[in-house]
Amino acid sequence: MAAALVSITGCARTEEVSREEFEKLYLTGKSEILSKTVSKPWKGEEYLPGKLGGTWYASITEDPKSFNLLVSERDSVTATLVEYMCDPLLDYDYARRAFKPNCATGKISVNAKDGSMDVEYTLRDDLYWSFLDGRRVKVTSDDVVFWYDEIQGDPAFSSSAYNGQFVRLDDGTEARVTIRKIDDLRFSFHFPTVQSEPFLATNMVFGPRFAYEKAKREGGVQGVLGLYGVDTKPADIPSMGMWRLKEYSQGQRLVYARNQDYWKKDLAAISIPYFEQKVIQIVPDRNTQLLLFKQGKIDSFTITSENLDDLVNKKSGDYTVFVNDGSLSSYFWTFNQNPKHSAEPNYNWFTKKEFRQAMSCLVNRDRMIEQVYRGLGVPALTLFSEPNPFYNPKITNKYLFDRDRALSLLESIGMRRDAEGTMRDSSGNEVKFDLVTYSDSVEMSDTAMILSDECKKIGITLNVRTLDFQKVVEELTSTYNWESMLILFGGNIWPSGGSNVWPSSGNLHMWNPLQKKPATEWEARVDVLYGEGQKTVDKAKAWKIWDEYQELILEQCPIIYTVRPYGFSAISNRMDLSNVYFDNIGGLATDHAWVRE
Amino acid sequence: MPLISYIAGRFATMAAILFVLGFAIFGLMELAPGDIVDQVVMQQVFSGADAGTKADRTLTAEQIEATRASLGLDKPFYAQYFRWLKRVFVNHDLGTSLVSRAPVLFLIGTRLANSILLNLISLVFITIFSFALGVFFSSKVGTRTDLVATFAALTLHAFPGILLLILLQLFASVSGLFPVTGYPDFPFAEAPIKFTFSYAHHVFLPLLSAFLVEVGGTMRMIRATMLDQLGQPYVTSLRARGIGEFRVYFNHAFRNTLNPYITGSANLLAGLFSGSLVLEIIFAYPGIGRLMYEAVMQEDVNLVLANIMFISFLVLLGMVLADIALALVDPRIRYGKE
Repeated sequence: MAAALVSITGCARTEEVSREEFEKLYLTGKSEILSKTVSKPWKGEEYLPGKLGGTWYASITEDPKSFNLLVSERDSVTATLVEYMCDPLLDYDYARRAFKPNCATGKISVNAKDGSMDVEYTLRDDLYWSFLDGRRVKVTSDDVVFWYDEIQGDPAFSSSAYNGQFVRLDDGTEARVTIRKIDDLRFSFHFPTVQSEPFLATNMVFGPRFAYEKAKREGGVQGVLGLYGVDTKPADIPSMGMWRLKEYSQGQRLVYARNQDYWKKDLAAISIPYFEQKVIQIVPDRNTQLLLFKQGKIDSFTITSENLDDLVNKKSGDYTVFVNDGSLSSYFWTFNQNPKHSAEPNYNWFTKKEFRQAMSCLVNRDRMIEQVYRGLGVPALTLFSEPNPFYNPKITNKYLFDRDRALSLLESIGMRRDAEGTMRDSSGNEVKFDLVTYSDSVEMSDTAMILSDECKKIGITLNVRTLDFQKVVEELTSTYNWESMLILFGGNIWPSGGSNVWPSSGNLHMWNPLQKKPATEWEARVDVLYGEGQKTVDKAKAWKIWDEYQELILEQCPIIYTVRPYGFSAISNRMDLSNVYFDNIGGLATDHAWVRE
Repeated sequence: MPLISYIAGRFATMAAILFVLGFAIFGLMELAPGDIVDQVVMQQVFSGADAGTKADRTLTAEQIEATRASLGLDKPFYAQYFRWLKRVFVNHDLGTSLVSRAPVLFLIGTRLANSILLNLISLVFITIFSFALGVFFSSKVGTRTDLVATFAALTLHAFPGILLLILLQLFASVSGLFPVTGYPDFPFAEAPIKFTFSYAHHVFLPLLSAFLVEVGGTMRMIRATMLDQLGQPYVTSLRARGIGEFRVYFNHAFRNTLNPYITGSANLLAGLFSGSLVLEIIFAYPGIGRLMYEAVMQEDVNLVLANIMFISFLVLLGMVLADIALALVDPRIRYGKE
């Protein structure tokens, strides 16, 4: 009883910690975590020869939806699993920022006469669609041409690659990029106008013509979509990638066998991958995955903030934790400028550049890094990320955390605090609006709370409204009934990335989507720059265009980025880690890994 | 004959309930924000481009509408429902998943079998132990043993099932005595005998959890019914006639405890099916609950509907069977007009 009393009274008193002490503690915690991790980004190193044999155990949270390459466009888990059996034409060497040959080599030629461009590819001569039973069919240019013209290029399939087959001409019209077979191994893409990244536009994975053509002929769209469904026998699914599907048990696991016909070999002429098998368990609960990893039943685990302490500070298993330099993506804050709400006072606020700039001045990134990410993140201040070929470290958000500046920007548009300290606009309306978030993670809700708190300090009421993800999607894409939103999109390393976000006609130009004509001058200019940038080959000119593009968007603040958190991933020491790399572009690269013993 | 017409009537009611249920599901899915096409669009945006090797891949507004139309999602929900009914009853086809295009029957098949197996094993264990313990503790009424048993039963009944599942999984992880997943990591066809033993090992803790959560309440119900029967005048009469206690318990009082249990067993089965969703997610058990959860999250209405219809059909069938069993075990119960 006495012990319990002592314990209770002990819990009740919390020793006060000063801000300096807290900062010291958090810096110690940060360095302690980082000291127990390994930073090993891929910088273009050659992979060392490995040893054949063993099994790689992995896990995913949900079943694949299909083994059909076209269906896989619609589901990211499925895409990952299907692409084990595919191989892109080119590979992107992000260390050297250049494409390199993969299952084909590419050559660009510009026709000075008509300003058109051709990209000629030559496939390797040792590519096969191979089956588990040893059957194999040669991969030819017919496969690529069929996939480009008859699958991706047929509007009936609604392929997400369809729009990428068109380029905008100087007169504002669009023309299709065509493909032509030269011989069994060579084919060529013809661009009616010069493009800055023709390899990016034409690089693709493709399916076997012999199967998809028959399915299209016999069953049309439904026939193609129904091909290689999850009810297909694995032995009937051909692969030209590293792995062949050997087994799929619904809700349980997938087993891939090493594709012995795969062309890629290491420096010792041993074909990769080195593992004989890849077993992927389907485990819907992340906590169960964590327990399996700690028991050594799976070989890698993506660490989130919830289990960082457990896996890094209280490390008990035999594994190595890798850290990267910060995610390519970041939660961002955006304001609804849709004219649908033009009668509402907040429409007048959100459409004013000064208001958005003032909001940017209230984003306390240091506090977010400190309180939300335990110091394990970096401020997101640029539009392009470092790996982007046109990343310019000098072009950053100029509206950094500064309450006084926020106040003066608001004052410039007639907003002032009243006697009670409440911010009011020039018509006397209280400055009060919603911030929509969804229950994605603790980090997201904490970030929203910090934004709300910083607004409150200058008399603005920001009501955090957490919705179901489906509801957020609906508000963003169809009803447009939101005021401001905190959201996260996937990262991209190309200047032309976000083709439906940045141009004013884009369906995810969130603040005012699907504009027939740009609503503002600056959006019109962004449209022009985006179009120009895509077709400017001259590097110096392209730099100018993309610099202006970044400056303009960062000045207008339609989207305000917050923090790029570090990423962590753990891998079992059962693996030899010589060829394992982890960075924010390639993720955890294990294609060249092998079992230590 | 009255029993047959009663059964026919129950089946007709079952069909009407399933019809209304299907209608309600389509309506609720319609009310839910977004649809499967929105999910596809957002997934493309949220996942970003593939490490820089491919160009931006996005759907235009026209493509989104075309996809929606191709899936029939542009029609009102009742039209979608009647189209579904036509396909099921006229073409005898449950359709395909809107996401995977795989036949719904294939997706449901093995998972339904796994769920039925798990829930039937639970039901059998709960039934056997509840009766054994209920009857035993009814004979110990008023003793300290009965007090302890009642306390334990109430504790188990009040304990949150999800917490018990997590605690048992942590126990498995820390002790290493049991796997942290509920299903063997190799297929039955690979080694059937090894699979059977491995299944028993894997499923032990999830079953234990389902058993512990349900056994307390069921045991208390059996005990209370037994006590009620033992207090009836006919039991006093039996005892006065010198009938032995064993016969009084098992030939007379026990038979009468079956009625409330049989009536409640269909509800117990329904409870087990709904409770196994959490179990299936935490212990990665490949059952129908997980499939349904994923289908609901992805708004795959064909799959959701087929899943719910199957489970509801099983539960309603269980109720009809319970009514028939009731008539068989209790001669006093007869259906139809007297």
